[in-house]
This record gives sequence, C-alpha cells and structure tokens, in this order.
Amino acid sequence: MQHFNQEPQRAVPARSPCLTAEEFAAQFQACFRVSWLIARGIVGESALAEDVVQEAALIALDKLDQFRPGTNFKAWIGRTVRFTAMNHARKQRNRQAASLDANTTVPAPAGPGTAGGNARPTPDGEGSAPGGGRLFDRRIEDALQEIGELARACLLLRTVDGMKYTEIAGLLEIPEGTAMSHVHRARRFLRERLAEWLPGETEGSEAEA
Amino acid sequence: MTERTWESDGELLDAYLDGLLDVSERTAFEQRIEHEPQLRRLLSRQRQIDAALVRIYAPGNAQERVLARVRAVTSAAARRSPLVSFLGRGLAIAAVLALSATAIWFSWKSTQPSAAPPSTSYPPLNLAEAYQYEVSKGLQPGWVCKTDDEFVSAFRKRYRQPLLLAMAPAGVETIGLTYCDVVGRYATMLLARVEGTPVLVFINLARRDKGQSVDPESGLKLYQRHIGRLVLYELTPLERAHLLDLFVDPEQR
Repeated sequence: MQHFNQEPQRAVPARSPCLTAEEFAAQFQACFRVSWLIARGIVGESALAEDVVQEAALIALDKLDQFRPGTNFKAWIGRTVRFTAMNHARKQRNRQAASLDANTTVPAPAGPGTAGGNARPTPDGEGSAPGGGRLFDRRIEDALQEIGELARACLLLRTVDGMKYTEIAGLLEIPEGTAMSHVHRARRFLRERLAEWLPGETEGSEAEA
Repeated sequence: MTERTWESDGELLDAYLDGLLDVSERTAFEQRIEHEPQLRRLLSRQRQIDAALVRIYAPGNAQERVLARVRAVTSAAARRSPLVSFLGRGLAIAAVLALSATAIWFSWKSTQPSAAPPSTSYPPLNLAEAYQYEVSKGLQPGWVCKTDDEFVSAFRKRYRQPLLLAMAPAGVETIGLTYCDVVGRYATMLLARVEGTPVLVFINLARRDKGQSVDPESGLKLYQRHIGRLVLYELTPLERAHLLDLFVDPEQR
C-alpha cells in the first residue's frame, strides 16, 4: 500500500521574489531589538521572550510568501511577534489561573511595607546596577508586571528603543494617541510606585500637580 | 497654531522628555525646573527609571543566540530545493533544533557508539508510538557527548539548567541523545537499555510540560522527576525507573 503518493502533489507556494531566506535573516536582524521589546513587553519574562522571538522568526520564515515586497518588514515581523507573544501570555495566564485553582501558594512580590521590602536600596545612577541597583531593577520589573501588556510594550519601545509614537502605533496597530496615553500612564504609575525607592525622595509619593 | 494644554506636571514632563514642547514651552519648563525642587525631583525620578529600563530590557546575549539560530535555519532553507522548502514550518523548527544542538554530545564512560545524523522529522504521535519507533530504529542516537562537561553544558545552553548523568550501575547502558517533540517542542530524549530492555527518558522545561501519560495497554510505564527547571519522564516496560535517579544538577551537589 502506498499511503503517501495517493494525494495529488501540492504546488510549491510562490515565494516573495524580493526576499530570499538570507535577506529575511538580514532584515530580521535589523528588527531584532524591536521584536525583542515587543515580546519582552508582552510576556514579561526574558527567557520566554527569547523563545517568542525565535518562534515568531520561524513562523514568519515559513510564511515568507505572504510578505508583500515594498511593504514594511518591521511592521510585518512586529505583528507576528505580537501575536506569538500574546498567545504565550494567554497560556501563561491560564496556567497561573489553573495553579491558583489548585490552591498553590504564590509568593507575594516584596515591596515597601511587605516582608523583605524594608530596606530602601537606591539605584547608583551609573548605568550598572551593583548592590541596591539590582534590587531597584527588580522593583521596576515587579511594578511593570502590574500594567497591561500593550502598555508595557509601548513604554519599552518608547523608552528603550526611542521609537516615535507614530511608529509604535503602526507597529502595534493602535492609534497614536493610545500609544502616547499608554506610555504616559505607565510612566506616571512607575514614578508613583517607585518613589520610595529613589534617592532623595521623601516618604510616600509626590502628587503630580 | 493649536494651543496645547498639559493637565499635570507629569504630563508636561512627559511632553518635555518626548520632545513635544515648542521652544517657548520648553524654555518655560526648564526655568520652572531650575526654581522648583519638586519638579526637579520628578524629572530626576523619571530619568532614573528610564535609565533602569534601558539597562534591564536591553536584549543582551539573547540577540546573538536567536540570530544564530535564525541564520542557521535560513542558511539551511537557502540550500533546500523548492519542494523541500514547501515542508515549511515543521521542518524549519526541526532544522533549528538540529543545528542549534550540534554541540550536544552524550557523555558515557563505557560505550561510545558512532554519532548518527539527526532526524529532521518525528512521526510518532504519542509516547507508546515513540517507544516503538525508537526501538524499531534500533535506538539510534542523534548525538553523543564525549565528556561530562559537554553533557552538562549542552543542557545548560539548551535549557539554562545544567544536568549531569552520573555513572550508571551495571546492567544500565546509556546510548545517546536525540530530539523528539512528543512530550513538547524542544524536548530532548535519552536512549538507554536496562538489562537489554530499551528505555527512553524525555527531558524538557517544566514550564512547557502539559503533563504526560501513556496508554496502559501499551505495557509501558511512565515515571516522572523534576530537577530545577526541568521535568524528566522515564518510559519503560520495567516495574521501576532505573535512570531518573542518575540525573543530577551538578550545581546542587
């Protein structure tokens, strides 16, 4: 019996005439930072973001014939990364929900006023994070987990990559005003949340008049 | 010119940092910064947060790792014929696994079978089929590590969790490593014999594991163990697991 030759041979899909696999690799490299920030913003965890970006690259490579030459490669790969990351984030949420259902204890994040959060380490402001700086970084990461995935991605693209709001909006397929509003709210939240951890701050956060 | 209003100093600060203020607004804001300590603190706070975000969220080594894997796949894709490239994502993923794992060799002190080229597809759909498939192939390993260090670093690189296989007792013969996606993508499989009986150990990141089971009618049994970030499953027709306890985290010893 021949199981594998009974189906008619399928046609090879037409590949984009302007983008070979090597060109894809070069373009992907140019977009890596942005892809990384989208993934990191959405899924949070660094190791998972790495998996997401790699998986998105393979998905995009497989669908290379769907890329239209002359269109924005960064937006195309960005969309693939975003969908892949949101997929993973959804699975992560489901897993967390399942573990909470099973009465698994989840350690509460330490912060000011909680166990382990009594010290007030400060960032050293030198670009590296020795000693207290590492704790401060941890506080930032914890605080960032409290804002929405898309807001996190907007903030990282604006702050870490210096991307313009119009580019962020195009990449994440949201209105420019929404991108701006996400960044503004995220910044305000971080300023308030981290006020106690910054040097020269008085107790409590300052109201932004 | 449209007149803009900023509802709070925070909003004004963001506009200042984003370069959205015109010259007169910017000058006025900078004068306020000079005279208002509270506003100065707000700016300083935001700059420290921004600096930390840049520091924390830079891709670092992830960029090199991911790009190396993607380049490996695209190089392979460029060499493939059009028909082969049609195989698409499944093959691409198999290729990246194979290429990114060329450094993995199996460590074993007594037997050193020759390394075979890795397979690029994995037909079995469940654990029982995987067992039969590997047995029918004669337990052919994809990779063989030469030293303990190679074995440890292979798992460290692949899963960020070092793993060492201790010296096996008499009657236990470990053969080599290969990949199989039956228990999840990116899983690794150890091929072994216990008193001549084929035994498989599947290794994967615990967070990727969705729980495994084996059809009782297959006559096979499944044993599980966690080591650090990893979950290990021993699939065997024997009454107890012989291999799981041989795995150790070298950094915990």
